[in-house]
Amino acid sequence: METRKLLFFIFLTALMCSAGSVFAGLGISPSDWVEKNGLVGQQIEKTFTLSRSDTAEDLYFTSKITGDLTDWIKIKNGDSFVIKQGQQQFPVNIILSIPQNAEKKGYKGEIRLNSGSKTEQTGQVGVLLSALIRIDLTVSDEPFLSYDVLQIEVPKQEEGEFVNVILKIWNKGNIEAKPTKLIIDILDKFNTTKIDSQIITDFSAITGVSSFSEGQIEVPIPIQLQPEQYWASISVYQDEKILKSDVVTFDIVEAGSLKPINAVGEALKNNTYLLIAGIVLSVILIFVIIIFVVRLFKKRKKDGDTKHIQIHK
Amino acid sequence: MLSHIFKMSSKIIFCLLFIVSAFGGLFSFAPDAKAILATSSVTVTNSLPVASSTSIDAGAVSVTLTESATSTVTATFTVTDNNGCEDIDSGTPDTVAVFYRTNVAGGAACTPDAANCYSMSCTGPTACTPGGSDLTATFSCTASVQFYADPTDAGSAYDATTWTATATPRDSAGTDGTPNADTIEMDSLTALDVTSTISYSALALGADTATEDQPTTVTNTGNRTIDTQVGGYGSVSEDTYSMVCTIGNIAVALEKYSLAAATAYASKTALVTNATPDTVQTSLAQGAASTDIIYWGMGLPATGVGGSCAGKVVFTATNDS
Repeated sequence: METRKLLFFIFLTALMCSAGSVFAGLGISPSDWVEKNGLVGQQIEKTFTLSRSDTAEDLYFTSKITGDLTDWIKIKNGDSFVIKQGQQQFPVNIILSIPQNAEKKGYKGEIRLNSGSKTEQTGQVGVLLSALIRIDLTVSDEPFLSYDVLQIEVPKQEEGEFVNVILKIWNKGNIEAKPTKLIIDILDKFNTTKIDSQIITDFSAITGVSSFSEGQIEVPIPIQLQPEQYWASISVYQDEKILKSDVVTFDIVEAGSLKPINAVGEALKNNTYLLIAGIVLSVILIFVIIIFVVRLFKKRKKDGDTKHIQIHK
Repeated sequence: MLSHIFKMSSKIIFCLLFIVSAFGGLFSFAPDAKAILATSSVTVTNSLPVASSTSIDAGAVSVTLTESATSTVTATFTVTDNNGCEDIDSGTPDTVAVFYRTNVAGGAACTPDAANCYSMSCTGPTACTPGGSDLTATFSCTASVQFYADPTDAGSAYDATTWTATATPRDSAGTDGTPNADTIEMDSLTALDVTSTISYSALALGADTATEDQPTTVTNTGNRTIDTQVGGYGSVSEDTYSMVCTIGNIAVALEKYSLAAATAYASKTALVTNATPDTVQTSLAQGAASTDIIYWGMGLPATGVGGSCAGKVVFTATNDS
C-alpha cells in the first residue's frame, strides 16, 4: 500500500501542465445582433466577420448555438469551417428563420464559434479562443419601416434617355423600403445656371429594397439633356424627413457612346479585329477596282487609236 | 511699231503705278497693322474648386475592422474647377480628405487621433484631360484605421453618431474650395488576445498551488470595452474536467483563477465547464495597450490521478455591460 502511494506521488511530482500561446488574437464584428422587429415567417440574414491579425496557420472552427433560437438559426458556412492561412477576415453568414407559429415576444440566443488547432497538443493545457455572437430578437406583427440611403449616384448616360438617379439603400426594417419623395436640381457644367428642377413623388412603378437587406433602386427623372457635363443637387425624403442630400456631377454622352446603336454596330464593336480586317479588305478591293477601270480605259483608248490608223490606211 | 512701243509703255506704266500704289497703301496702313499686333492681356479670376460625389468604401454599409491590426478605408470624390481641371491641386497645399468620428471636437479640423480622427493619404488628380474643356478630376484617399477606432453601431458608446469623410479641394489659389462629405457606420469589434502561458509546477496528491500564480495576460484587441469569459475542459469540449491525466481526470473546479495576484488558492474562483463559461470582469477599455492579468492556480485530488495531464482553457471576449 505504501509503495503504491509513493508511486502516485512520483507520478504527480512529475506533473507538468503548461499552456503555450497557441493562437494569436481573435475578434468578431459585430458581436451583438439586436432585432426588435422580426415578423413571423420572415427570414433574416446577417453577416458577421471573424478576424485575426496573425494569419500564419489555418484556423479551425466549430460552432455551438444555445438559447431560445437553436432551431431557428442556420450558419451558411456550416457547423465547422476553416479560416485559411493568410486570411485576416472571414465572413460568417447567419440565417434566422422565424417560424409562422412563433409567439410574439422576446427571444435570446448565442452562437459560440470555437477555434482550435487541427493537431492537438499532448501533455499541455491549451489556451483556446472563441468568438461569441449574442442575439436579441423580438417577434412582432407590426410593420416597421427603417432604412438608410447610403449613396446617391447619377451614372454616365446617353443623350435621348431619361436621367437615372441610383439610390443605394440599407433596409433595416421588416418591410420593403423606398423613398416617398426625391427633389433634383440640375445645373450646367459650371454649376451656375439651373437647367431644370423636378420633384418626384410617384414611386409606384419602382420596386423597393427587401426587408433586412442592402440593395439599390433606380429613379428615372423625365428630362433629356444634350451631351455635356452637369451638376445635380439631390435630396431624398421619407415623407417630409430628408434621408440624404448630396451634390453630384454627371455626364451625358452622345447616343451610341455607351451602347451600340444597332445589332450590326454591336457586333462590330464586339469584334474589333474583324472590323479592322474588313476595312483593310475594303481598301484593297477599291484599289483593285481603280486599277481595273484605268487599264480598261487605256485598252479602249488604244483600240480607238488602232482603228484610226486603219482608217488612214 | 509705234503702237507696239506705246502698248508696252502703257503696260510698264500701269505696273509701276500698281507697285507704287501698293507700297503707298502698305505704308499708309502701317499704323493700323501695328495696332493689330499689339499684345492684349486679361487676368482670369480664379474660380475655387468644388468637391462632390464623395463615397466611402464604394457606398458600403459599415467599416469592419481587423483585431490588433489596421484596416484600409477608402474615400473617392470628384473635384470640379471652372478654370480647368489642370488648376486642381496646382498650388500649395493640395486637396485633402479627413476621416473622423462625426461628432468629434473640431469636426473635419480635428486633431489626428487613432481613436477618432485620421488625415487621409490621397492620390490624384486623375482622369483630367488638359486643355481647359475638362473641368473635373477624381481623387482616391485612404486611411489605415486602427482596431480601436470608436464604434458607432447600435449598442456602442457612440451609436448616436457615425464616421465622416470630408474632402476639401484646393487649386492654384491654395485656399479651400467647397468641401463635400459622406458618412458611414464603424462596426463594433469585440476581440482579445491571450499571450501568456500557464505552466504549473509539480504537485503532490491533495496539494494545491497556494498563493503561487500562473498568469495569463489578456489584451483587448478590439474597439469595445470587454470582459473575458473563461471555461475549461479536459480532452473533449464540455467534459467537466480541467485536465485528463494518464491515470484518472481532474475536476474542472480544481483549477481556479483570480484577478488579484497572490490570492490564496482557497479564495480563488473555481473554473467552470466551457459549456457555461464564467464572465471575469476584466473591463478592458479599448485602446492600443489595454491589458489585464488573470492569475491561475491548481489543486489535485487526494487520490485517483497520476501521470501527465492535459487540458484546455477557452477565453472569449464579451462586450462589457
